[in-house]
Amino acid sequence: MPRIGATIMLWRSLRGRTLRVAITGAGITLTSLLVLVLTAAHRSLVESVRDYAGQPTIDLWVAPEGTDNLIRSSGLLPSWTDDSIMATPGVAAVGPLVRGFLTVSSATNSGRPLTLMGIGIKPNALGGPPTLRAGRNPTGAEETALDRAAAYRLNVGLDDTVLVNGTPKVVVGLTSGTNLLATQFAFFDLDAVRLSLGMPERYSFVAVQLEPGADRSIVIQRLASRLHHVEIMTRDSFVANNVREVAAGILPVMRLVGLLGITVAAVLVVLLIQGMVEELRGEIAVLLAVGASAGSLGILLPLRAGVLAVAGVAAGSAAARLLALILDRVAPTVALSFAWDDDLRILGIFVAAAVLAAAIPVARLRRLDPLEAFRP
Amino acid sequence: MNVLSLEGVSRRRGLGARAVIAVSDVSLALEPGEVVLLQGPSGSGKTTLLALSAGLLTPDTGRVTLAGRPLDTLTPSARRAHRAIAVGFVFQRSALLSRLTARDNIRIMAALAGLPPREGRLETDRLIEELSLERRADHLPSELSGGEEMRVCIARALVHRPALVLADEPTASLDGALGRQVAELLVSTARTRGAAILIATHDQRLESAADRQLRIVDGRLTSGIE
Repeated sequence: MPRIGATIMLWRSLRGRTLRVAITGAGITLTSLLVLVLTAAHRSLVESVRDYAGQPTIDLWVAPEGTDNLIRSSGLLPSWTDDSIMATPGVAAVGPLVRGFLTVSSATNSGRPLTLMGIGIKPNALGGPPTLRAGRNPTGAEETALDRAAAYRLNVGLDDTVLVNGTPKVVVGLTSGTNLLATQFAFFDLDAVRLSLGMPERYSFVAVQLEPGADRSIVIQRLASRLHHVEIMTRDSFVANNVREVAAGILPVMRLVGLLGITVAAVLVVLLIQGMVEELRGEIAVLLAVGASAGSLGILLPLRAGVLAVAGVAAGSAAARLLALILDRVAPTVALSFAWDDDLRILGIFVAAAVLAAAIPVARLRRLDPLEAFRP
Repeated sequence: MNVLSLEGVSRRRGLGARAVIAVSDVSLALEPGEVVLLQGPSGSGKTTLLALSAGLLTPDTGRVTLAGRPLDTLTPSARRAHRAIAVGFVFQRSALLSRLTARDNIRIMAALAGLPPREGRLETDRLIEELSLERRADHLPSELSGGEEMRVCIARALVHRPALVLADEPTASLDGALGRQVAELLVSTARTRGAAILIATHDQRLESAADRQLRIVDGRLTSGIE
């Protein structure tokens, strides 16, 4: 108990100046906010890909040979592919899809065009939007369902008209889980998109639903024997391919920016603790002279840094969620998705960085001579 | 039993050709409650002798025994723990912890010495009263006068009832009357607790308060040698 009392009092005596601590805490909050937002943006992107490519109604994806993802693909399937798949025993339903980038503009957006990832679907077939926030799926050539972030960017809502590659279409649905940040999904009638893209007899993918109880591997074998020059992927592997593809673009930048953020936080902590050690040098010498152990002081300072990191990241986490709420209302283009395990991982990294950073000035503290207490 | 005993203690300062003898073949002993003045010019070795007595420095030759324990037989950590229990310090400058109130500056020493919290609180309150610090106890050092700061230092040096108080120029930063008053307070408060005091000072005003005076020149005791 006396030792705990001594530790508490030592802890209190090793306080930095309030303003300096506040500035460092704010720095940690901002840098952790940056890392959290980047992570949440990445998570949102991955979730969008999962939401679409991983729809539970789709068991298999059939793509042209050499194409293993939705994001970057150029191959095409012949138009008889869906009939051939549908005729395969074990297949319950198919959804032929055409994917292509389309230019979309609106009168209410000053005519500034957006390039959206257009998905052509058959009415009530597989491969439609994973979640409809409002309205319905397009059922005719003059209709579209837009991702709600795209609708925000185009400044349109339900029943408004947009120009798709110059052709007017009415917005009949708003979707979510379809925002890839750099672009968004827009769903159209299959034939209309084929016409817009100039490939009336082709598909990009075919989504396949199996009959209940059908053996997936046997159906894959059957499909492989019927179709040539195609890739047949399970839902999970298709999702993994798409996640890999979107991550390939954003992850290296995200990691670099995140690393820079953590480095800035660590430098702030070094400056704070170094400042504290310099400022309290005489007092630390007195503590060492009267019997405090250098070891306990050497633990308490990094502990202070760790506590500051926890407080900073907690504030950053709260700020990130607040920011996400605001963005969702005022600028849904930037979708953020949070997960507590991301927060905990980032907290761990920041605390480790802060404690390690504090170790630098603490190492200098160990060379402090208690006899300095005797100097006037 | 002596509270402090130095037998043939020598200590060099610096390395190689630049080394100087800071303390040379010093022997002395302090009995419980005894007040000893250590006088000498600047650089004569007074502070080094205090540091050797507290185990903050180890002698090159000779032996220091503090409160019954030869310091050369203790590990650095045991020496530190023994120092926290057996020694109270009054430094030349106030040397209070700026983030703690006067009361907590006193209590931290009780805690470092391992006093149970209740006992530490009681002893702190007793000293605050004895040294007339009641109205200033919850103020930070920056809000105290020089005399008040020194009284807090005295309380901190005595709160854990050490066997020995080492005071390094305790009146150096105080003017005449105040300096004498603080010195008298230190001596009387320590005496009531049975602590021996070794005071390193230039200040001749303190001579009347001492039981014995030692003079050190160039690291050697030149008067009052045992």
